Amino acid sequence: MNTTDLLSQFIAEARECLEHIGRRLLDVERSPTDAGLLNDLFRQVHTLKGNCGLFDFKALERVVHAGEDLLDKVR
Amino acid sequence: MGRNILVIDDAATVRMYHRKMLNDAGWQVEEAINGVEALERIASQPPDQAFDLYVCDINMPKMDGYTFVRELRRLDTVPQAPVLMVSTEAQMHDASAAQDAGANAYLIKPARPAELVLTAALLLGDGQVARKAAAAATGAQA
Repeated sequence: MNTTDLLSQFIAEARECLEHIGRRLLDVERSPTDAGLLNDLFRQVHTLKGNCGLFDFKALERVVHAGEDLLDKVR
Repeated sequence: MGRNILVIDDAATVRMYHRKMLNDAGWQVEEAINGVEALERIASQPPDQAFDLYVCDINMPKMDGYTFVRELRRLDTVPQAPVLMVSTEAQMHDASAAQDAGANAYLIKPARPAELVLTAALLLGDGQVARKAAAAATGAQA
């Protein structure tokens, strides 16, 4: 499989996820009891983790996984 | 006859990854970003191009994979096709829940190419591709 375009797609989506996560973290700080915001934040982190797994980006996956576990506890 | 597969996942990178593997096996692939969009695609699909297989994520916004399969299985207006769930959820109860909802098989993400293609081939009844994928998975000659 040619992975160049897949990697480009990964980088583009990872940027989108990280921007979304940054915005949502600020939203959650302002409205910490809003379950919808927390769920959306969790989903973005979950997507980023799943995408890391496709490439064996183990270090990045571990960091994102830890974030996902933490958010799951907060939920 | 060409096989038509609908890949349902909210992550664009995963959709591309699955599309590439399934295209490489010689099948046509279309995409939907969640269960709602998938059901809309199924409803508007011409009868002679009905989907032969669904490769579906679980955790998606708007409509998750479990709900999608349950809704699909209720439809009597389209031919029923097998559903292969692919999810990062690695617990046994997730696979059981997928089966209870009406899915036919379950793989944990990231599914390796030979694993995904072999499972899809078995569900599609495509013996030629299944033999090749099994050989690739085991290192044997097809």
